[in-house]
Amino acid sequence: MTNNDVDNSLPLGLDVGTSRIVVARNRDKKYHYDAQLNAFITLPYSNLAQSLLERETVFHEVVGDEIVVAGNDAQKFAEIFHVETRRPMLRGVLNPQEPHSLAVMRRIITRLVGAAGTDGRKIFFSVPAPTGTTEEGIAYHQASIRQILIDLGFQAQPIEEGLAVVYAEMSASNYTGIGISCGSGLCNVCFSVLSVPVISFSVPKAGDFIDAQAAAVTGELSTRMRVHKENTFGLNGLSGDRVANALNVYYDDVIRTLTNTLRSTISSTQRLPKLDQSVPVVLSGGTVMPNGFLGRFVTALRAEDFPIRIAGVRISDDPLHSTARGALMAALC
Amino acid sequence: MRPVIQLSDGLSVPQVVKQASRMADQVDRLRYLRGAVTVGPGRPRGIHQWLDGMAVWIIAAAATAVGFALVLWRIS
Repeated sequence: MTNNDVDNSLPLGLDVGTSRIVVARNRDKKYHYDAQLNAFITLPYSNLAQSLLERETVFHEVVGDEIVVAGNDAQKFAEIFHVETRRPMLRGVLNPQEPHSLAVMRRIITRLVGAAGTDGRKIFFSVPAPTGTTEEGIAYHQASIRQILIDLGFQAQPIEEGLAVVYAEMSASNYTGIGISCGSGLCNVCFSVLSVPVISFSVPKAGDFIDAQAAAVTGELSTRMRVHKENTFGLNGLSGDRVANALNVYYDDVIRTLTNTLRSTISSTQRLPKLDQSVPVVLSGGTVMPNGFLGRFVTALRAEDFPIRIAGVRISDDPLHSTARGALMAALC
Repeated sequence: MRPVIQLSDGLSVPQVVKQASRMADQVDRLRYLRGAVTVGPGRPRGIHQWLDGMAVWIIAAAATAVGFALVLWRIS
């Protein structure tokens, strides 16, 4: 067996996020990641445009009379043309208002993971937990992603995003604790005891909500809000910068909603397994990255009594790759 | 119903935790725990649980009554 053959049979972890799709690989006992923006834009087809895109090796596909530019390249084009990128996913699942959603997802996933190489190669892919009593398209989303991976030759298994965070981050507590992934579409939460999920849910307010609301009150584009948020923004309270102020306000809203839902969901669970020790909380995902997020989260968590003892709250050392790494760990088991 | 930690035969939670904590490799530890631990729905609460708790006393009382009856029968 050559090194390439070995690589083609190793399990993979796939984080199918509303904003980014990330694949994790384990090579030489180290984790490696590749990511693509889960977005696209369309351009009217012309020979000139297509040859230009091919020459520049831009990730694109001709669909009818349109050229679909997907992945990381979509962001560059959106900034050049001052337009919003289109999104194949909305609130953690396939976007029902977007006719290109499944085709674009297929293209991005295929580019990231490639064909399986060997039959039955394992891949675990992240799926959202339900937001409440309704299912909100999770079954369709899960089945669609699974089919894409099966078509590529993989043996595909879903894993809830919050549980993937627990697997990636909570080895020291024997996979007991609360894993939270705050992405673009949703905040996914899982309370796990000794690796087994006890409570899983998601909150439908996350990065996209912050971007959309802040854009609405400042008259900017959501895309611009996201770029501002990712590059320079910190949760430092209100200042003279109206964009930063709007982001601060809606960040607080998301944090408050998340901590209140966490508290009420755990409280309303009839009875929890007996726990002798206090449990850690780990935050991951792009939305937790601004400076000051952890402090605000801890303050909101401690604002009222919490139904279980918390050992500590920390942000993942690698918040953008945590879910993919957890999915990979599940695939390696 | 109360969710309960269910373990592989003959193990207790401290034993499982001790065994898992010995494993330096994160994947080995996760693999072990996923094999050893599940969370089940637990027993139904209410009258069923009360009956479960009472069963041992009912059996003990019945055995005592039979014993007394045998002794009385032998004496008479």
